[in-house]
Amino acid sequence: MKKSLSSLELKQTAQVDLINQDELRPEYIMELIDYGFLPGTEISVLQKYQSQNKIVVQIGRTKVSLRLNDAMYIQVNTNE
Amino acid sequence: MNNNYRCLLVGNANAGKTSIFNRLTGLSQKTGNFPGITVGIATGEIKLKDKQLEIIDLPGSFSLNANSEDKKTLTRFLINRRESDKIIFVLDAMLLERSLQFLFQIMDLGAPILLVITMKDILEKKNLSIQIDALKRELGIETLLVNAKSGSGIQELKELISQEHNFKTPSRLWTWDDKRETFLNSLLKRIETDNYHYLSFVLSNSLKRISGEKLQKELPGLEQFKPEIQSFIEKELEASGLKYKYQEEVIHKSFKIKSIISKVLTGNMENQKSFSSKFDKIILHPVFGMITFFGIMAFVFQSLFSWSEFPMQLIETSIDSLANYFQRLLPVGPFSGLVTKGIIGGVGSVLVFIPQIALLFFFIGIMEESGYLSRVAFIMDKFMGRFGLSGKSFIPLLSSAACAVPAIMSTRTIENKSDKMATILISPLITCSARYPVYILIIGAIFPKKNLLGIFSLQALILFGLFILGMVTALLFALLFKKTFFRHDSSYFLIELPSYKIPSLKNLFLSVYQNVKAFIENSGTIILYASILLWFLAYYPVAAPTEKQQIPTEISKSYAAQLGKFIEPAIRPLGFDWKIGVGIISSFAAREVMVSTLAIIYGVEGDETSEDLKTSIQDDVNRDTGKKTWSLLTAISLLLFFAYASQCMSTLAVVRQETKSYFWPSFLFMYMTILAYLSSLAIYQIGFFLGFGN
Repeated sequence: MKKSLSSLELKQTAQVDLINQDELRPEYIMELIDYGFLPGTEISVLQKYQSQNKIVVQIGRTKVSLRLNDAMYIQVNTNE
Repeated sequence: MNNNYRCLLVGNANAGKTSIFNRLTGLSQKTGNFPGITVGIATGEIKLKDKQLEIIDLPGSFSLNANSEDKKTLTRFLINRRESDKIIFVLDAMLLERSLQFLFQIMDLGAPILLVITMKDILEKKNLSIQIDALKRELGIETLLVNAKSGSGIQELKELISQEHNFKTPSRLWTWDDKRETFLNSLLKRIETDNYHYLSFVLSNSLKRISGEKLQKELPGLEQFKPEIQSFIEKELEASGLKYKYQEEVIHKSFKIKSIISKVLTGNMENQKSFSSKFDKIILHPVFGMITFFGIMAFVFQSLFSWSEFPMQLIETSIDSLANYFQRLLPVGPFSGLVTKGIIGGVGSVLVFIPQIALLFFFIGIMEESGYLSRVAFIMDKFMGRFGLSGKSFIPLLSSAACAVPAIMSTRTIENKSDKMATILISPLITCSARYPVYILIIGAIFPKKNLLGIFSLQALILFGLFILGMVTALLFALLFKKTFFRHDSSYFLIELPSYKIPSLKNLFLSVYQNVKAFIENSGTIILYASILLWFLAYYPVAAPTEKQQIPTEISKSYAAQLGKFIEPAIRPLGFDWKIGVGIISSFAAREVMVSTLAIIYGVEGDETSEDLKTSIQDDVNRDTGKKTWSLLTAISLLLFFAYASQCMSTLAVVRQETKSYFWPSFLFMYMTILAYLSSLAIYQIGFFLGFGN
């Protein structure tokens, strides 16, 4: 099922599907790609704090933190 | 024949690159000056067999695309490298896939390269192993596994880098899909070149840019070709209907990397997910994370002031003894004044801050090396977001509490340009250590020593109030700048949370040493010149001091006084007379010069805690009005002026250096000084109107 990264629950795992090129800035997208946000790559939610507008994900061996309102524009595939 | 060459250390920030650099060069390192490069880059020398090699530690990165200043510097350095330069690529074994992506980018440059893999110990601990011989074959370059912390493998590394033939220039290991690869090769054949490797790199960048990718502007592209070739490439690409996207490139590299990893790695890296997660549940928690952070901050600031007290006193006493020694040694006269007051006194006023600056860099170093600093950016992001900034701006603002110069230098790691600029512009508003001597003198002389509610010292509360005032004003101005100058560029936050590590003492020591050295070189030189100039202005053209008194009695006729009296009409509405005017003029070199200026003007010896100086200030009466020069209202107005005015040449110099423009330092100077003038004017005039003038 296709979902936004921001809607994943804590400890949930999914695969990166696509990054919305219209809503996120090009340099932000480049950085995401460098962190390994490539289609098909497994991603899991380590921490999520609505009050802080933050999500911490693990992609490969890297732990990355994003704002939830940016994570909204990253689409993922879940096994649900 | 000169067979020396430079080795450029390239790799990601936490791969142990700096540890390897420290192991190779030790204390021989210094901050190098390279044409066109503003970010301080450490270099060091190493003598190996018959060679003297220069090792250059380039800023850490994971790609040649990131937009922060330090990363642009990396690209600039690599693109403009000398032909004889060699690259030592440092790769974190635990981040094999990402690091290999970066290695592939570096290989595309076509420079001779050698690979060093770190984290040998962690690999062993996790039962993983990399078949080095197989990796060598796959990559076509010399490869070595080391433990940068313990030094194991460093001797072999020295052996390897001492032989030029160990650096190899491999051919491109990855390919685009068939269509794109064929198109690229057909273009390459039709453009004449003597450097096929580099051309392929430049052409790839050109094709990506034409396809709409916003690559880092330091990367060479289409502009490298003659106009007719540029239009040829554009037309050909358009006719082909192909697009060259960065994401596609990374995916194609990733195919190759995955196949390499499957051949060289034994053990499963994907199952190793337990690292530091438990710790982060507390450190990043909205409540516990904040408590931890404020606890650490309270400890840091407490230590910054209490631990530095003794060494600061020691420095002060030594400087006084040195000044006294020269005063006895030299014949009484202007020259003695120049040496003791101008040179020793002036430079001494900078040296006294060394313990605080060293401690600050020590703590920041611990936070950075341990991986905590990224977590601080994480927990402060929401708060900073309210003022249009991201959590990454918090660290420079924190450093500003000691000194704006290193703080402004640390904005290099902020990728978003408007965030970086706004942070540079507001950092000097934070109360820095140079303001404290002035605050302490004025508060100590004018405000009564009494306690509020029996426990809070009034003087300490005013000092704390000034600190808060600086912080609040800085944040409000951040919001203002982000809503005006930088309204088109919103802030974003994306940060890696590196795994926790125990900081290396050697790295900490070297980082403190480098930063303190840079601080002395920057501020020390300016203050030295300013002090000599000030001494001249205060002593001349009065008659030479008499034998009994070294302080000229007729300072009111000196050039400094003439200058002070010249600006007096402009500062009288703020409650200041010409003596304060002289202090203000001199403090534009550096704030703390105010104290020594007042000491010269009042003809007393001593620093901000000197009772003589305080008494002179309290007793000073304006000859024209018969009222006290320093009323409570004047003191408040002056404190406000010092809280806001841009009185630091080192800061302006560093802003010029970081922004590569004269506009921004001029703007910074103007906005802060106008803010200072208007605030002091308003408080004094309103206070006067309400009858608080006496």
